[in-house]
Amino acid sequence: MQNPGTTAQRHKVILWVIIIFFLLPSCSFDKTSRIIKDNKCADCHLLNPQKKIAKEHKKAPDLFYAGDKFQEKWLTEFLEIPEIIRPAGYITYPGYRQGNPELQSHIRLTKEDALLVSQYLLTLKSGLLEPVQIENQVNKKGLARGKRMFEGQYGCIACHRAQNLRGVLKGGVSGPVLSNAGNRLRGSWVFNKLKNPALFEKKGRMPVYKIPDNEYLMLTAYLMTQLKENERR
Amino acid sequence: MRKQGVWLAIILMAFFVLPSCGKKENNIGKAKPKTEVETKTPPTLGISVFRLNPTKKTRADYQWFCAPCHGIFGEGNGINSSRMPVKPINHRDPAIMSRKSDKDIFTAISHGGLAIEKAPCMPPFKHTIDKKTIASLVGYLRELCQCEDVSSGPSTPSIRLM
Repeated sequence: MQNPGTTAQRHKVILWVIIIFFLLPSCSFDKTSRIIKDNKCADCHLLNPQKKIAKEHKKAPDLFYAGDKFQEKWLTEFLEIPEIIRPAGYITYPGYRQGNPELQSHIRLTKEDALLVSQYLLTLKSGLLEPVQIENQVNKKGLARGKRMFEGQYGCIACHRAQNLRGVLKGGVSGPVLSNAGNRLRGSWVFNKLKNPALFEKKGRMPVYKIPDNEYLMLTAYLMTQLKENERR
Repeated sequence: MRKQGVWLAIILMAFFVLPSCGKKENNIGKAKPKTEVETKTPPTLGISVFRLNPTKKTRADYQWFCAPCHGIFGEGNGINSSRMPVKPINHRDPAIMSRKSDKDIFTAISHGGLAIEKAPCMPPFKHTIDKKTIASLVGYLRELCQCEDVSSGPSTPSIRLM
């Protein structure tokens, strides 16, 4: 015969387990969605791919594949202390082509909120990425080739700013800055973006290059060596 | 019995050995002209006319793809221009543009600057913009410079593409 006191205690424990495992995470999810709603993130960024927005009405990059694209540490830091990624402003802004960018200050979140939002954003994945291994796939010679392709052969530097060998920034401003690509982006996303830009953006300005996979790999590996800490200030 | 064996050997030869010889000969026959073509003729673009009349869409495409480097009025002063090692071409300068044939301009847009021995900063757009749009961009550049290709005489705008 079981002691009625023990049974009541067991029920209490089960109740607490239910609260901890099911209700608390949903509370934090509620908190995240409240932060996103309060800061009107979805007014500028597309978080749900089902929701179609005409290109000219977009105000900021799509984030429905943020989990494919961004590294966690960078994303959390960016949400707390934003930095300029597009020196000419976002491509749909009317002043973009005139060199008169409206560099809207991105919303700043508290450290705690930044962590919650970045954790949520990292769950957003397109499911379209071709799996690829970037690390340890390209040797020094390949990296040098990637640099030559970026700065010379394919003219990427005309639109994107990157570091030269001395860490000095050079290159155009119409595309996103790539001098911190190794901190900000995931290699697999860069590879897929280079190979098939239309996966993420139906009509972008980025030219499509149909080149062999090993060249995409060398370009990607080179871009992943672009680290903010190497930048000369 | 012996005769039967000889016939069988001949039939087997006819089925297996002769076709494989023919195949080899064909391969050799096919391979030769291919190498000649590769070495002697330049790559063709599969297009007979390199210019089309520009439309409203052409102007929008110019603003979308070309203006960041060549400027919104085509004067070679786009937002990237001051940061490039080689300044983009001023599309409004008839002195420069009249030295370029429609084919050269078409090739530069589709295959990039390197294809006409110019700076590689001009990327190839052949996989991004279709041939008709590239041809209409050539027409728009002629409109911007108000000039014709003087190196090969005035070319007539045409709508027919192969």
